[in-house]
Amino acid sequence: MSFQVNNSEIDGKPCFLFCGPIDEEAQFPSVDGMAAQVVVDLKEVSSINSVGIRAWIMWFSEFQDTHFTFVNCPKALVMQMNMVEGFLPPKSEVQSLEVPFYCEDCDEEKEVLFHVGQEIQVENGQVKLNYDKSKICGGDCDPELDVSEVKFFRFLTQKSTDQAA
Amino acid sequence: MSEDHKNVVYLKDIVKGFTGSLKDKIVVGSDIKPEEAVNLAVSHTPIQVVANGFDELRVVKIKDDVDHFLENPGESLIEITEDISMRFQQKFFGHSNKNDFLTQVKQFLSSGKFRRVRDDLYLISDELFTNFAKSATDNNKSMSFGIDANDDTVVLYCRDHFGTLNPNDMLANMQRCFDQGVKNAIKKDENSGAGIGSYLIYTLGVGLAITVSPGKGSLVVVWMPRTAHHEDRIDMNKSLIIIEAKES
Repeated sequence: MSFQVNNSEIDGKPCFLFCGPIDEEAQFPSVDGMAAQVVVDLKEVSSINSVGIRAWIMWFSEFQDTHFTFVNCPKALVMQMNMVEGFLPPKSEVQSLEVPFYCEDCDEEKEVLFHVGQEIQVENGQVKLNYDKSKICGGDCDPELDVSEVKFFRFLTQKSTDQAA
Repeated sequence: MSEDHKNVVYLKDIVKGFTGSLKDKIVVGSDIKPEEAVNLAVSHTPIQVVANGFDELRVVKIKDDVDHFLENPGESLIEITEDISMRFQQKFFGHSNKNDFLTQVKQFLSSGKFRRVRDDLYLISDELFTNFAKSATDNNKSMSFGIDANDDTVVLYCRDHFGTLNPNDMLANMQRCFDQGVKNAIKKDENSGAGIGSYLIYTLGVGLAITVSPGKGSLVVVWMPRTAHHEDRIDMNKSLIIIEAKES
């Protein structure tokens, strides 16, 4: 499957649904008159490579006046948010992202959707998580967060630091 | 590892004003940041090795038997297990379909053993396939790709028989991404990748070895701890090894 961008609307705001791999084949749409506030749903993005990162940064750079809200961010993109300076547009926020868990009892990997402001609280440049483990696997399982808690959410604290500055 | 090893120069000595030749030396420091390793490799051409302190033994081993490393990078760096689920080998050509290749890589990496390195190994595989396939000068000559792993370490490598890779370009690209930031590097470079691929490959692993024999062959090897989280790994110091081709 090649990269596609589908249009929809969420809460009255235009929404782009990005699907597939963001790579050298990816064609970002030409947009005349981008709205002031736009939602970008990343749920269906399967991967991104260096050429895709370049295309992503170039495309978002065209819309300096637009505020982007990213939802359903997969791990592959969260990794780039943490690693590649400038990956997130200056006027943007991440509203929800998939967080990896591993349950040793089930020997299963789980991706759980966390929302900023709900399961993820950012206060004074620090991230605090608030979630119910029992809802991840059920039963008596004890799933563990399978990322480095401080560093995985670093892009959120970096963002708040940038905004404060 | 003895401090007297003949190939080793310690970073602290360079800082203090070491004036000897760095050719064929291993520069070892426990606190060489990834960008400093790149700067050292660029400014001290033809430096051979920049290593972080933790990887010193592994790097010295490469230096002591370069031929074995070039022939079997996985076996040279780690103790290979009997477990075939920890080993992947694939040949491809310049005209091979990238999606087919990546589908096989993805299938191999689907094992839970690779859950903490899966996304990064997939990305590095994508970058290496793209670069090697693009540089193929003969569509009938195959390139080799492999992943070897044990409980501790994963080694990923890609080899061609063209030798068109330019390690100096790779180093310069990495240096630019570190110095200017990826976003600025992109703005100033009209080329398709702006060197981000090299930067990613280097940053995602804890060791990168590049060897090129012009017109004969190129080999890129990346290694990383199997169970370290991505977020921790990208902050780790790196070993950077540029092996010059031997005159034959």
